Amino acid sequence: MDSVDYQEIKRMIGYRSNTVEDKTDSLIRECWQDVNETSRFRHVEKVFPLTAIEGGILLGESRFYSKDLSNHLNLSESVMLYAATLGLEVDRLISKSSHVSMAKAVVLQASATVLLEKLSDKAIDDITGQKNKTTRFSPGYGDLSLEYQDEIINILDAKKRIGLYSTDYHILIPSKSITSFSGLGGQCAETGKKCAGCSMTECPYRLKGGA
Amino acid sequence: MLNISNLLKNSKRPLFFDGAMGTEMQKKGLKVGDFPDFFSIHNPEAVTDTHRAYINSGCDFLTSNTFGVAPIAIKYGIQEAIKVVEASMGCMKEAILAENPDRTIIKVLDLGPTGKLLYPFGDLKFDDAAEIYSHLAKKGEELGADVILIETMNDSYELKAAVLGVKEGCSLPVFSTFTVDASGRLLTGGNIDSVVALLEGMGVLALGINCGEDPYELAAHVDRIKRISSLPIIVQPNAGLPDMFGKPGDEYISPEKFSDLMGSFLDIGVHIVGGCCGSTPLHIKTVTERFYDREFPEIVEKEFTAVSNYSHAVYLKDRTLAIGERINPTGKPRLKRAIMDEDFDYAIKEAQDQIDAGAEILDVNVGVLGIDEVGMLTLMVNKISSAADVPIQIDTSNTDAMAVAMRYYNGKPLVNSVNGKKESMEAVFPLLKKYGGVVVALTLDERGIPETAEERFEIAKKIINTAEKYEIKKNNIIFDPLTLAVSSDSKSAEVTLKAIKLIKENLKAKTVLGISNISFGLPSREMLNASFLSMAISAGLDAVILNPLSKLVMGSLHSSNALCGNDEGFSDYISALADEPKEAVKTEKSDESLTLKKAVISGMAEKSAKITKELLTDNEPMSIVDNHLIPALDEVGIGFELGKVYLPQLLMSAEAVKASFEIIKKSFSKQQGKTRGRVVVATVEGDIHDIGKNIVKSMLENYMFDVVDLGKDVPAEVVLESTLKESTKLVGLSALMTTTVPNMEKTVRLIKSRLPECKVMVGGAVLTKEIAKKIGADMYARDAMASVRYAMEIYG
Repeated sequence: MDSVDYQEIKRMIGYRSNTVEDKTDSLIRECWQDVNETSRFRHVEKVFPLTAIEGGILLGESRFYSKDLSNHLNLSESVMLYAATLGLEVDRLISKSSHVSMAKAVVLQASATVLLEKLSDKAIDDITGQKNKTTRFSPGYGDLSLEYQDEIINILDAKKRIGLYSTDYHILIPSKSITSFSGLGGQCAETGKKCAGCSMTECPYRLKGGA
Repeated sequence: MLNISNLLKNSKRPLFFDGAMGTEMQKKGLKVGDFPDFFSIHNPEAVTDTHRAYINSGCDFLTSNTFGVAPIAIKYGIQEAIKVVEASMGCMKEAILAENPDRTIIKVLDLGPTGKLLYPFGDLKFDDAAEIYSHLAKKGEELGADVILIETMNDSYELKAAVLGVKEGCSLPVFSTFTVDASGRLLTGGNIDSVVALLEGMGVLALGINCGEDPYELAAHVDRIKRISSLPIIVQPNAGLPDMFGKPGDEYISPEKFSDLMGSFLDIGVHIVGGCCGSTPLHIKTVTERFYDREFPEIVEKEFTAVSNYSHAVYLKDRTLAIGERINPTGKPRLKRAIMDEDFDYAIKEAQDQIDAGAEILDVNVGVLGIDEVGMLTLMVNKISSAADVPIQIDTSNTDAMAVAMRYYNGKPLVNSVNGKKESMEAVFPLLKKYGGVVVALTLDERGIPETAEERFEIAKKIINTAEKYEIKKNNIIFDPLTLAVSSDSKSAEVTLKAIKLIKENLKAKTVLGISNISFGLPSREMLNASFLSMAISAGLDAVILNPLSKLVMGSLHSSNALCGNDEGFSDYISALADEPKEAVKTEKSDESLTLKKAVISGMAEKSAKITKELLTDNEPMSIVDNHLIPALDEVGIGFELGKVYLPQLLMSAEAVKASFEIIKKSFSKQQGKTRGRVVVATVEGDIHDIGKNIVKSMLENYMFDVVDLGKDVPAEVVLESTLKESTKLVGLSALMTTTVPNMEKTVRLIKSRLPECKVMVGGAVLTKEIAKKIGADMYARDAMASVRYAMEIYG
């Protein structure tokens, strides 16, 4: 595993800059390997021309009302709607582990999140190539309601294509899944990294300076 | 009414399904995201015309415009879905009437997935899913459908609910097709073998693959089905998935290329072909014209026996496989207590240890006097099978418990047992017929266990004959010719071995034995068991129920399999036994200076258990808790609160304490272990993330609280009910998503309205102190230690 992945997992399990003792170190390496072996990363995406509407955006025939999303995509020409999952096997792995070792379950959980983010960044880079783009913006960020999960799944036919579902309360299953909007082209740029655009300023996982 | 079974058996040529319906509806003005199914009501001519075009394309099976009725039932209610079924069947009949073709057209009611993922990973309950399919199928049968097709299934558990629902709703034959990715697995993880075992067990009439990502990648998967299935095979690939506006993309496969593709499937030996997304009447016409004169491939009955779980199938063939017997409370007080306390973690640990030791199937028996076996067996089977990736042997003499456990099991289970008594066969065979499964059949009957091998063989024959009347195939029965103690009858081993040979040779049926009885009443039992196993394997035994943790017996299994020529290259033998000496050396090493406190602080679970065992020789159990474990826990806990110890370390220490407690608990068997108090914990309704709640639970248990864990997605009423029942002073609730915080509030308010004195602590990613206060909770627990501290405050 490379040091970026390692640092990200470390941060997610609360270590910040502190040194990891041997036992946790080997647990991180073991979990990273387990998650890599178990996951079945799948993604599906679709690019739309960006149409601004009052208080939100229009993609095809679907309307998404969110000022924060509009602002995020503001300078873009088009929008890539994206969904990805590591598959139900990872949920099973974490659930299984929680009966035997909660420590491992916690580190698996963090490893899976890091893996999903990493693979998603790569997948989007591979698809968009050199095009300038914004960071990913997902339901639950800012004022973009989680209720849009269902609509995104429908638009992308994500149940059939990648096995991504949502519950009656708009929670994604498998649990290690993402849906997101990325602005493409125009004057848009990667607005900082990850946390900068998020309004959850008290979040314990927030990166220093948001970047 | 058409006899579809005979039609398949007697067909001289391949049979043809029609092609896509949704794609055609999109051409006729269907809007993106709308259900094509409603066209049957609002634009019936479009649907009827499409059916007519397919009739003219030469297909045998006409599929109703009802693919989306299961999600429609969920979204708009079952009555709306039934209206669609009525309208769609009407369109189909009208098309047949209008075209009046001179060949038989088979009317197929089409049912797709619900669009929801089933509990425990999703939020749709198994019975709710089954009920939807049941209503829809019943209506289909009333309206003259000949076959129910369950298609594009993604998830084996939903597939089981669907097939079962259809069987409960009507008596029509069922065809079922599923979707696999390039690796040949369902998107929820099951491989082809697991799905085929499940579907054959449940008695569908034909099965296969439809849709999928790239039709050119299907051949290998179709070939796999051909090699393992004894049923007619259906393949309905797409001709390119529609883009989101329903416009055909560049990747659409032309009718000519599509028929080439179909030719390749027919070459593999597929019996029924048709189209999925993107295919048109022209695609189907090209296929029917080209392959009308092909011969109908032979349907080959496979002889092996298969059981399955959600992920894979296990076959009884070529070698003897191990069924782990340890999840059975007989003679195991610790497991008995775990069952009574609903402490599933203990059993799951047993399950994983057995798998690590080489068990390929696990026996699950919860026979403890005085418990509700019907509820507990299902609960235990589901807990074990979601945490242990092997098929389960459902072991009970209570046929009510057997039925319920079989129903909710995600796969085709092994069932233990039936016997030659009329009463037993009458109770068990209908369950096997309905839910699917393989049954262990004991060769005893009303007269008891016969003394001779010949008589046991006769009972086996009787069981096969009776099973046939229930349409249960011989390969779904494994005979147990019974092991009796050699100490009471020196001939007993010989009789059992002879019975194995008779059954194998004359009935060509499978056999299984529980071996440990053989050594009853004698010293060095393991040695005798191992030798007997070796002899039974040489006699042709297919499976053995044993303790996989016994190295001697497992060693005998691997050696005998290899020596009998059933382990090519000795690969199983080598992988199971080669590491043996190294491990032995490793366990010898130990650090003399390590104290229990240090071991706990360093999170060393095995060491903690070992030192605890040593300490128990001259220490009272409680003094170990007070003088070693509590100080260690406090040190780690305070370190965590100060930010010097991190979550994984805290949890590893918790695991070390737990391992130590496991040892101490054994000395508590008479004197009651003391607890600080009882805490009910739950993740609120709608929330399916439970890792935070599980962390809190394990920490509370460490501090000797008695935790009642209600699980995840728990309705407010259930939390209240349990709080009343357990008369607890404290409830802990967890919610991870903003969408479920309202349910947390509802739960808090409900508890407070009935039990104003009961305290409620809340936690979870989206909560803050302010939200906790706003929703009426007494305490916001920012982490697991905070909940421990609060619980200690409440229970003083």
